[in-house]
Amino acid sequence: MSGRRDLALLGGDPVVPNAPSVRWPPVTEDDARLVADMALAGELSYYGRREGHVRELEDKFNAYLGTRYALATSSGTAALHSAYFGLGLEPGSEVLAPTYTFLATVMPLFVVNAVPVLVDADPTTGNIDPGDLERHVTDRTRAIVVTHLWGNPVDMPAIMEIARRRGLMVVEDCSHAHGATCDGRASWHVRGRRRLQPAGQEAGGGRPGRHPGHRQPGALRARRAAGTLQRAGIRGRPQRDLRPVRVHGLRPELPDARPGRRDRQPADGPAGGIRGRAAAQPRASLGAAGPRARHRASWPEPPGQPAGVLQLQADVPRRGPRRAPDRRVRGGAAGGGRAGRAGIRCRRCTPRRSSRTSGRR
Amino acid sequence: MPPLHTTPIFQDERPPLISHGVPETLASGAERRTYEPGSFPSSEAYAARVLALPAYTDPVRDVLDSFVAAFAKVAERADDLHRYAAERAAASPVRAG
Repeated sequence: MSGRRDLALLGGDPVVPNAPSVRWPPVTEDDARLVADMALAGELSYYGRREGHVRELEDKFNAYLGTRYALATSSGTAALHSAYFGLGLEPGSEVLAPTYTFLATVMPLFVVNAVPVLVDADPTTGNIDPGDLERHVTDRTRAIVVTHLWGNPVDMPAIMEIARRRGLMVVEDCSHAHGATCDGRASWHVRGRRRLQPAGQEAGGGRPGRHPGHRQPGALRARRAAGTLQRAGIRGRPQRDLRPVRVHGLRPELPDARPGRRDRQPADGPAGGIRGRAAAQPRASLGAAGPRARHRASWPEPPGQPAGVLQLQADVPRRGPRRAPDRRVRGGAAGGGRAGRAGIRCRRCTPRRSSRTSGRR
Repeated sequence: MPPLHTTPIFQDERPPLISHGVPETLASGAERRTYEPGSFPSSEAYAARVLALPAYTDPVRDVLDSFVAAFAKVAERADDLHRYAAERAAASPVRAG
């Protein structure tokens, strides 16, 4: 029995004497101040789609990713919801989805009356297995959603090859891969597996597990897909019951457009970029924490979802204006990275020509 | 994080949300897809052997080596830990019901 004394559980010296803390979300005083300023200015909500701090955030996010459209949402789940709605899925449309992912990847599919059809995992990464994908394709299959788990990118060339051949739309849930880049076309293909690297890490700051992007508002990026964007944007506005979906003014993640701040994540101290998930958070950070704020603060993180918030981008074929605009949607919090030039995709797996399949629908 | 197909949402006869009818009836096969444990063995095997650390908000680079050492220590002393857990369980049995 005495041989166990060295176990930390029984009073022995712990191998990790000072475990790093998990403070989530990391809200800074600047954040609180800016939210307070917004509140005092009466900037509590927006009526139009492109206003105020939301517009600023979306513009900076676009610039950061090098994309044309971004749509800020109140959470990653909302971003996925918006994307699915934006795709124009019909009732009964089947969407291939990984079985090993956080629930939020598929739950919005039920809400838009689509049917998630699960696909097995790659045994080495846990990501969706392209090899198991095609046996689930039916004449009702319309789209594929993938999640880049734990920062490991899905085998996107394989996914996109299937998607093009089958005429399917693709949504990427990049909540674990936000601000990531792939390390170049050559290595992408030579190594077969891409290394997904948060932009902040390249800049000498962040690390995947605490990357600010995990808490950024969802954003929908839709290349040349104004229709998709419009539909996705509708999701959050007029209907009162959908109000939480679209980002309104008073949200702590708006200030200073977080995308830009991600690169400046300090090596020490709280991460700078990520804001809370709910409107209740500003109250907490302003020191006016009511019961609700305390309740929220005590919420444990759901297992398996370090982000809590997913982020989504949509990316649709560039050419072929007469084609259905949303043939290809790339979602996901990742994508971005170096000004969006690389993102998690490489050029070869992201065909830009109109030769891309016209798909069906 | 259990694979989705092992959760009630994908095992129950009825879908979790019915907002405008049951979309499954419109899908291929016109019936709800349900899954059972074993439907996707790779995902289950993966989920069974993967551990995820918290998303630390403090810098972790300097302590990563100690994390590795901690995992190694737990692995080396697994027998002791199992025995300790068994003793604890025997000392304070979980109340039935």
